Amino acid sequence: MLTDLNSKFPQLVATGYLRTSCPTIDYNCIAWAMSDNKHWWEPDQDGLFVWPDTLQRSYALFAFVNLFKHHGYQKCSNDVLEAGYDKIAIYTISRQFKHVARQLADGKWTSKLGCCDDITHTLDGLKGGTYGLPTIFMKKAISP
Amino acid sequence: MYACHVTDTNDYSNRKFYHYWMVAPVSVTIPQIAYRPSRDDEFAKFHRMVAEWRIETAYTSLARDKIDHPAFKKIVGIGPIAIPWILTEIRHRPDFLVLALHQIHKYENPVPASARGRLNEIVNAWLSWANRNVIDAD
Repeated sequence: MLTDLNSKFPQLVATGYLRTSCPTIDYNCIAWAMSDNKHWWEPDQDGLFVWPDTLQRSYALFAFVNLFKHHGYQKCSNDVLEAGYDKIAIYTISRQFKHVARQLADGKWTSKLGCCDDITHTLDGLKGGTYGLPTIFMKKAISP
Repeated sequence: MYACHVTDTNDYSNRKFYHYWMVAPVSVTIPQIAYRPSRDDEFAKFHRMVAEWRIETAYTSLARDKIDHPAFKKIVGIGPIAIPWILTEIRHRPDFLVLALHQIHKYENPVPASARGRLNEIVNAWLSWANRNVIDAD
């Protein structure tokens, strides 16, 4: 269901992308960043979606950063591929969480687009549209 | 002196007398009747809003952004009459439209904790609730 991609992500076609799954509502980008393809992660107040019990259910940006810290990530300064580390990039608009992408071993990025497909893309590909800009980078040492 | 046209816009206010061929300005008061959309109107609006909402929010990463969309608020605004229509939609195409049921039916939450994070199970919980309460999809 990759409809209207050009208007939602103006740079995606020009920078290139590869569709890597079928559309599904089973999981979102947060789950996908943590390699979970079974749950929708979100800090909703009704508790319909997954969020760690020990973390505050809040839509403030710090809550999403805390979630990834909870899963072993720490903030870093850039998106450069580093051997031995997994990296994620959090896209924001006006300091509001909009999306998260995970870096692959070849330096490209993988994202779950809302209720649609997974794609492999460049970090710039999703810039400037629905998700805003990648403003926070985090990394985690890959366990041997 | 029953003239048949009432669109004469001449100003006769300074004249003392009207001749038979003149038409006095006529003021007609139209009673104000509140417009109430019919069920068919609401049904058409529902499908229009669902289509718009699905296109506009397909790529949003958070359910919060999906339910904040104006089209979703209009769907919820239709009220309980929309419940069977929502059930029909999510039966054929399970998606976040199920959250409209949570907002319309605020005092009901048939979703078990075991369904947390699993949207298909959340949809199934609402469909089972509809079956138990004999609410037919439209």
